[in-house]
Amino acid sequence: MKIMIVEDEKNIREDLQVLLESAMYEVVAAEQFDNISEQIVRVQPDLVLLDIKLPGQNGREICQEVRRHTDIPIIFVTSDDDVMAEIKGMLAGGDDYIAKPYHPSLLLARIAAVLKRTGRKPEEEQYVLEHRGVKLDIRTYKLEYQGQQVEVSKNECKLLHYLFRRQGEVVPRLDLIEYLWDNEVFIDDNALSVTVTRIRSKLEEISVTDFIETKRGAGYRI
Amino acid sequence: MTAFAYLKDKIMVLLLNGISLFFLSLYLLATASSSVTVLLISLIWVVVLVVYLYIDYRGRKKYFDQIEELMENLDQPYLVQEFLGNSWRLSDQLYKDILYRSNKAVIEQIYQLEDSQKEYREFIEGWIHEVKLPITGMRLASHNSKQAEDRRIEAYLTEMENLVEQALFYARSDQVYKDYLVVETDLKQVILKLVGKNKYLLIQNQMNVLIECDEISIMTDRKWLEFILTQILNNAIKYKKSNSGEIIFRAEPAGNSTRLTIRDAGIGIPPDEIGRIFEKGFTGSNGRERERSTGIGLYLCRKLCRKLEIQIGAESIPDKYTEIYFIFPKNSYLSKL
Repeated sequence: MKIMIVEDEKNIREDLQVLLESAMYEVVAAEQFDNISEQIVRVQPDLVLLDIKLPGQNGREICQEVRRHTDIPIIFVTSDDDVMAEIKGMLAGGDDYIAKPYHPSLLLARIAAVLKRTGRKPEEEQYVLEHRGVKLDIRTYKLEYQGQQVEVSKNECKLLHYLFRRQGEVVPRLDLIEYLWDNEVFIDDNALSVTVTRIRSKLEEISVTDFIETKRGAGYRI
Repeated sequence: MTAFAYLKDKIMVLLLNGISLFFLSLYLLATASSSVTVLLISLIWVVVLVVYLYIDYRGRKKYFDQIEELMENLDQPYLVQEFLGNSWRLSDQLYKDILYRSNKAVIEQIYQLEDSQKEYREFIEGWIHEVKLPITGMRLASHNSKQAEDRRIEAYLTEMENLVEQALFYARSDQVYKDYLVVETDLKQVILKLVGKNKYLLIQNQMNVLIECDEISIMTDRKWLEFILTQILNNAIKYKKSNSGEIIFRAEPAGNSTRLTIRDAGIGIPPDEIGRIFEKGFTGSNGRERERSTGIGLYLCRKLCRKLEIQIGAESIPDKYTEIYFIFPKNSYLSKL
């Protein structure tokens, strides 16, 4: 996946590059701002992050020019966050619009969403995960062990899903909480402990013990 | 203008006439006129004077009543001079001219003030857009560095961003009409976005959030609503109890409108202060104790709610909860068009 950054502020451009590279994207950053649309067409990235306020030319105009040649997904980035600016951006042919100061994780999520929507990233999700003989089905919210089944709640399922994906690792409590918050479960530290306790008792129902290990002061591990 | 006030104003004319009539009568009696003649002349004199005063009074009263009426009907009463009719009286003409010149001076002054205010506002808005750049940079840099303090910096940055937004909306609050777009809005999406934006701040402060709001759409401007809700969220964080925190968003249809309540399990507001929390600069005992209140957040909320035609109110039991409610009218903007 190749992402092109068009941002005139040098420091932000560099930090953005580091961020995207650490998220496993290939990054091309524009250094010259006089023929951006030609550069975009030449580089042929999978997605463009386009600042609206650029020296000389307006991001929206660039977008319109690019649209004459190609339908590369374009996400506008700007500090001007009124509604009209957003609408103008969309009318110019942008795929999404994000206002500064954005959260880096939000930006990454938007990029992934746009790539997925525009069909550039075939994302295959695994519905049934397995660890030490315990199976988690995230479609039906069910845990299964040696033929025995138990249902878990939506929140419990999300928590388990994250632990299953990071098998063998000690997952810090804050990582878990943040993951849950990103998935519309807004709980604090105490509520996390309560949820884990509930999962443990459900696991006991299907004769699984010591499945989730508590690492004092650190987090959980399966 | 009353008749008595008019007569009081004409006291010199009345005195002059009285004295003249008195001396004329003396002279006539001295020159051997009969008292009947003198009486007759006096009577005619008085009748003529009364008729003159009556006509003059009617004229004046009509003139000033018209001005009063104008004042009441004009949007900008200070422009009344422009609408004054022509009068043959010298004093009226002079006053009109004086009014004109004094108005002109005042209006110039107003324009100057408006100009400098506009300049100031533009500077603030420009500055806010500028300052978002370093905040973005800090976010990226702290995210990339992956330090342990990362999350704390994120929480501080969120707080800073909220404060910067508050300044922006304060600068813009007098001209909402220029910058809002009322569209059908999914309330839950707005709340989710709000919570997502303040994620680090909320987690850092050990808050639980519960959203009970399914498929409710309202007609409003998303950005303004998001800003208003941010203020409430910030207050819930600021005035939480030290050991636990909870915010519950609950939306439900209420008759012909939608009611959204935001309840926190915080320290609450004393009953004698709850009536004043939406006043500008009101900080209350909670705000003073924590020394971090500006008394602007809720004031802006109410101001913006009024412009968006949203009702806002508060209920609280000290040490138990504070509940802020909003009532969104259904399609009030559409029905107006």
